[in-house]
Formats: sequence, structure tokens, C-alpha cells
Amino acid sequence: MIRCLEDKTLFLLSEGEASEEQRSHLQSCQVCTERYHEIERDLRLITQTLRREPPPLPVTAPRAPVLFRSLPIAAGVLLAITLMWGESRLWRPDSSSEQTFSGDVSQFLEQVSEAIFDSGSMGEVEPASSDSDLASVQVALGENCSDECRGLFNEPLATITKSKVKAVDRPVIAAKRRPIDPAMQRMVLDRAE
Amino acid sequence: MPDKETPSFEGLYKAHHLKVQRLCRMLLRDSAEAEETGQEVFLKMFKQYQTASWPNDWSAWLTRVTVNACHDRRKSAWWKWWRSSNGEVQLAEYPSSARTPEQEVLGREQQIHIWHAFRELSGRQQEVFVLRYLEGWSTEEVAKTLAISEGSVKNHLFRAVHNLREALKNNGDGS
Repeated sequence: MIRCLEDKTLFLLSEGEASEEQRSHLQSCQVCTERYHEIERDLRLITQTLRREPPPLPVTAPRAPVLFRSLPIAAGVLLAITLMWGESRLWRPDSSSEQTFSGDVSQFLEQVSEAIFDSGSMGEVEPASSDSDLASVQVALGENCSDECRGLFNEPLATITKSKVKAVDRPVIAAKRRPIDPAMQRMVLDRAE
Repeated sequence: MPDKETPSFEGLYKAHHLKVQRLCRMLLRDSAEAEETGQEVFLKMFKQYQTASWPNDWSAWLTRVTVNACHDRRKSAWWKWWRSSNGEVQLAEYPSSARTPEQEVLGREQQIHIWHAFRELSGRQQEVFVLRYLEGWSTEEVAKTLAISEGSVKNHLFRAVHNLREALKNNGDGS
């Protein structure tokens, strides 16, 4: 006596293929006979259903492949990146030229400062003649700017500094001017006289 | 060459075009694809009709050519992409056969399950099932047409039947 048949064997039996031993088992075993009839019944139902008119198939508009579908997205991203890069490039200050310019100005001011306050002994400040100071400034600024240097030298130091600062175009922090006390002003004027 | 006693091309077309279209719709998933493949089959038939070597059985010849044309269509990369983008199965309105509304609904659900399971089978399983059970060909004829061994035909057939029965069982459990 063999054990109950597998589904595939039962299916092969329905196809007319199996050994004599399997056939005899099918005839003697109630469970296998029921399973066999179940397969036949299911197969008949499936075949009947599929013999009928197939369901309407969906008509789909041809869609572009994934590569082409993602092309507009890629183009959009690329455009956004380009715009952002261009924007940052446009508004970014040119640091290299600024550094060079400010370096030149500070070097120039150092030279002017050295020329004016003669780097000798800091403690002993001797009153320097205006001619010698002018000569020092000319040496510092070069020979071709004698007129300009003379004009600068004749002006008060505060004015020169102010004009230089203006030329450099540094950001100037405007200090709030406090109102002058009239009593203080009178006292200063008296002393000056 | 055709003479007065042999069937005309128009006659052959009228006799078989519904069957060819039906086969194409079963084995392919898109109606436009099925239509195109059907036309392709009849173009081949026209070429064959013009030659001196006519097949003994036009019906069997058309079935074989149709199954192979659908097989070639499914093998193309374009088809694979197309198939992956479609999935819904909608059932046509069948004429009612004096059944109660409940039976009608259950029957429709069952049919949808069976068709859905059939569409989920592999291409080879579909071909084997159609030729063996719907066209009634023998295992040997199916093997010869599809150029595979008889053992392979039986394996494909068993897997197809198993999957379809599973779909039936699941439908029965669900309802």
C-alpha cells in the first residue's frame, strides 16, 4: 500500500499519465479520489471561465521610458543649481582685489606715518621743521607727487586723515555728536585767547 | 496557389480572425498590442497564402503562428516595460444566465480572480495552458509547437493549474 498521492501525481493522472500502482491507489483511497475530483472540477471551472470572452484590456497611452520621463526633472534641477551658483557668484564681493587695495593703503599710511612721526626715540619728541617733514613725505610717496604732497602737508592732520579715509571708502561708523556745553565752549575760547 | 476549390484569403480571415484576436488578447495584456499582433499574424498568413506550400490545417497553423508571435512580442524589452505599467483586470459584462444577484456577484468575483491569476502566470505557462486546455492540443503537439520537451510542457502545465487553483481557493476563503 503506498501513501497518499501528491498533487502533481494526481494532476498527471488527470493527464492520463501515472503508474498502475498509483492508479490502483487512487481507486482504493477515498481521500485521493476526492482530491482528484476536486482537481478535475477546478480545472473545468477555470477552463470554462477562460473560454469565455476575455475581459477588456486596458488601452494605455504610450509612456516614455524612465530615462526620458526623468529628463525634465533633471533639467529643472540643473537649472536651479545654475541659477543658485550664478546668484552667489554675482553677489559675492571680490575679496582678492579688496585685500590688495586695503594692503596698499595701509602700506601707504604706514609710510606716511613713519615720515611724519620720524621713528627715532618715541620719548623725545622734537619739534620738526615743516620743510624736513615735507621732504620726508615726498621721499615716502615718491618724486612725482610733490604738489599733491605739499598740499596734503599744509593741511591739518585731521583733514588729511579724513580725506584719506574717504578715498579708501572704508565703512565709517557715524558717532553720535553730543551737544557742546556752552559753558565749556566759553571756557575753551577764553583759554585760546 | 489558390484555385476555385480552395478557400479564399477573405474566407480564411473571416473564419479565424476572431479566434486569433482572442488568443492575442489572452496572451498579451494590452488591447492595442493584441490588435497589432493579430494584424502581424494575418500578414504572415497572407504571405503564406501566396506561396505554393499551404499548411494542411490553417487553424492549427494560425494558432501556432499566433502563439509564437505573442511569445516574441513578450520577449522584447519594450513589452516587459509595457507589461509592468499595467495591472488592473476589469471584467466585461457577461449575459446573465438566470442566476440570483448574489450568485452573479460571486461568479463575477470568481471570474475576476481566475483571469487575474491567469494574467499573473508566466508567458510560457499561459501558452501551454491555452494550447493544451483551450485549444485542446496534445502534450506532444504543444511541445512541438513551442519547441520544448514534453516533460517541460507537463511541468509548466502543472504549475499553471496549481497557481490557478490557488487563486480559486483564495477567492473561496475570502468570500
